[in-house]
Amino acid sequence: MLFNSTEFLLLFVATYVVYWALAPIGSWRIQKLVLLLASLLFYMSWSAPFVLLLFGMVTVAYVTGLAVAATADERGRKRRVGIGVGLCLAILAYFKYRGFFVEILVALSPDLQRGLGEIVLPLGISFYTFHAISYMVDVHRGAVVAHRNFLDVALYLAFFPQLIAGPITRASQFLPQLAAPRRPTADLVERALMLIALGFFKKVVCADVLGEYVDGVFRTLDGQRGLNLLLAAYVYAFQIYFDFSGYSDMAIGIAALFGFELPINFRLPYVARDPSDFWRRWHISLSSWLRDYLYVPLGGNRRGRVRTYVNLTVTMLLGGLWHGPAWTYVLWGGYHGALLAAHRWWTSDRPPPVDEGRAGLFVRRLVMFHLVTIGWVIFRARTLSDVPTFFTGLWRPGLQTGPLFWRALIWTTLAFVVHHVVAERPFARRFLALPPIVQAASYVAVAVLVFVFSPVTQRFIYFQF
Amino acid sequence: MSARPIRIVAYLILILIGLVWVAARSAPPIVVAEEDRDVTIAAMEETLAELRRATAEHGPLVIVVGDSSLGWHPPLGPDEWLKRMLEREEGRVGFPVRVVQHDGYDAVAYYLLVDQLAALRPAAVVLTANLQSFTDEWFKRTRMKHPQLAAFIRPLRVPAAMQLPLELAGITDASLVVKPVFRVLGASDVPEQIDGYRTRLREGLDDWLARSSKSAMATGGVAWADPAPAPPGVSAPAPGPAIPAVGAPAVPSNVVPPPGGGAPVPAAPVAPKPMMPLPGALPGKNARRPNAPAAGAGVMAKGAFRFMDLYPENLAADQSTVRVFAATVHDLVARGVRTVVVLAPLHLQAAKATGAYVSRNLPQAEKVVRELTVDNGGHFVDLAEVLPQESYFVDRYTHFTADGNRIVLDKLLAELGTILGRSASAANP
Repeated sequence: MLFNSTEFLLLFVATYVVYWALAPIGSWRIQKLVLLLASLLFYMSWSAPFVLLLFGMVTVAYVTGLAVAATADERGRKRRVGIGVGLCLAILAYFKYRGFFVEILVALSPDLQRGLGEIVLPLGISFYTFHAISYMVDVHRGAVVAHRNFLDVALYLAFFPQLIAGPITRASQFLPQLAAPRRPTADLVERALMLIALGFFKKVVCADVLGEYVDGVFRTLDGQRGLNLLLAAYVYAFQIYFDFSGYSDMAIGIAALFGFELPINFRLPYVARDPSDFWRRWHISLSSWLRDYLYVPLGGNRRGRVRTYVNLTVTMLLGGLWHGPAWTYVLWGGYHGALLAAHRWWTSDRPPPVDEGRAGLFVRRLVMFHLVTIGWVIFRARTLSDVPTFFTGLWRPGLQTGPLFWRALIWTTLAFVVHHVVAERPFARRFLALPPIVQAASYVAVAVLVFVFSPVTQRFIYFQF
Repeated sequence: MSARPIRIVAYLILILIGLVWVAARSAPPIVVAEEDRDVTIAAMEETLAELRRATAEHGPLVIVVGDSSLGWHPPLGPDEWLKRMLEREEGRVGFPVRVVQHDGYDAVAYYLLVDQLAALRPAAVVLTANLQSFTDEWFKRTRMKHPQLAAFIRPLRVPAAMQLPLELAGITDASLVVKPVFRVLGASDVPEQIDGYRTRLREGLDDWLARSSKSAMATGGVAWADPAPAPPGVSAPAPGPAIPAVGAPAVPSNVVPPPGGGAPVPAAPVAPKPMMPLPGALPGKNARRPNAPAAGAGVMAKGAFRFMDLYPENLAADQSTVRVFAATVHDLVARGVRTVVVLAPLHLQAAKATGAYVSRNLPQAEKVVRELTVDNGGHFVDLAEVLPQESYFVDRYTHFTADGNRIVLDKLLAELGTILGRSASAANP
């Protein structure tokens, strides 16, 4: 069930009406139950049996939280949280990476192939696993108290706006919001409407339209001309941004309509000036999760320069692998790890740059955008061998055009310009200051555009992770 | 919460309603091509009204619902196609016979029409079961489905319908809920009218971009954006008049525009449009017919069928078409409707002739369809046993010849006579 589907609209409206109709009765517990039921329905629309896996993960997190809170002995607490996290990672590894490791084993010994069947990847497992780990570790760190209420922990993991593709919300951010009935402010609701409309626009009018071109190019890399490949790289950079940030915007907006605040996930990533800046702007909830739950426990930058580079690279390698069991993701993670390490090395003994002027800033942004785009080519490639095929193809002369080409070129150019303009002139505050009727008319315009450009519904890219 | 967000939402709804109202009012009327009859809400309403009138006048009907196997195709004469033969020889059954037929009708269409058919309290409903439709490939071929018919499903059956894999056939859960509402509101065409705007806008944009690309690029071929060239032996369909639905004139039109334009002139002789040659073909004016010969070419070579995976291999009870067909028979029988499933056209011999189906486990498929019918309380009529010769089929269309149609007719009417007679005597001992 996609956010941009009629089925979801029906589920959302029904849930919204029931949820707020219960508010005057004062039964916050039942309101939360309604949200949990809606979340389960949302998940069951993909697969009913896998709800049990989700509940298994909730149970592991819940029991571990209580077990950790039950003892004051630090070694015991560590052991218990270690078991809980290990269990969750084992479930994730089994469902998500079994095929990957089997592939490696089969490559080493082909006889193993017999008896090793395919396994369905449960939707959103990477996200709710990270939620579960966040809960257990936060309980261990004392950032959140262990909840005796199973419903709260279940809702934290299963809350439908963030269930499938995030944002990855910390337990310490979400669980306190379950303590008392939500009372959304007018500002929050207005912002929610804006985010939902913006998300729809990004997904349907931008990402899906751009995706038509990208899919065509990457399907037939061998026959593509260099300029087509170059455009496809730029187009994909914006496709994945619009797709994922559109989803995040919708998720944040939908959650806000129920009174919940989810963390921001994107902050104009293509105006980043360096690799560190990029990861403070791209998939913020994941990068900060990796920083706090992986990079820092590995030692962060506290154990010397070389160890810092190693930690950065390992964190990004695992971050890449988190996206899926494929060598392309590993290579992409390693590439970004190398970029971060190189940037760290370059800046470690140098003073921070003085005011570099608009031109200098633009050049830095442009360079960073191209470095990120190179990474996206690796990320998008179907196989590792597609990567050299793509880059060597860039030198192939000629250009093939057609409606899709022109549409992609126009959309991408507009996206690039708007991206940089919005960086200078923040959009949200100005928009929210507009009169209600102007805002409503804007939403109608978005609805019309969404309607016009909605092709056969496309899955969100980040659902596969 | 202050009134500001509420005002935004209220304005939004009002503007949207206004926009839709204006768009629907100013939209050109939807012209339903004859070939699209009985796949649109309006046309099906007419058909159902005609069936109700016939029921009121003549009593319970035998309603035969089926696909192109009931229709006309060359080289049949005007009276040699099954629909005509069934209606003409209805006296042999003892009940008036009416045929609701459209190319590509399959389990999905039957399932969506169950409520309406059962409400007519017919003497029997006959459903043709074309084995070609019992493949996932066919089931997912949404262009051969008729999502508008979702408007005819009643609320009580919607939850059960949602359990079936109809979304694979382009019938979403939402459409099962929304389309009947539009129908009740008397605004059946609004979604299609609005969709018409979308199509025009998108096509306009693509045309503009294509023109721009031609003017901007003196050279450089058009990439994958253009339709792939048709494979050898495949050509666009020839236009022509269509088969009427129930209630329409027996022969729909004998007026066709002359080649090259000009005023229409009567075409001679009076004959219905050829039915879709093979039920696997796609409908619509831009559709390609997989087995239609290229202009000037003869009958398609047998080997060409080898590349079309249209018949089921190892058909199982959990296959999508089987599930929907079983639910159809079940729901009809549960409402007291005698339901007959005719496994036709099998064109097993034609299949052998064309070489397409030699590796298919057709006996298994027959068994599954028989079981789904019998287990759900229906009657099964297997035509395979009466179709021993290739001469009963037309190679090019893989449908029945006149002789084949005669055999099918005799078998079906005999079975119907038995079923209805037996039922009648059982009811009146």
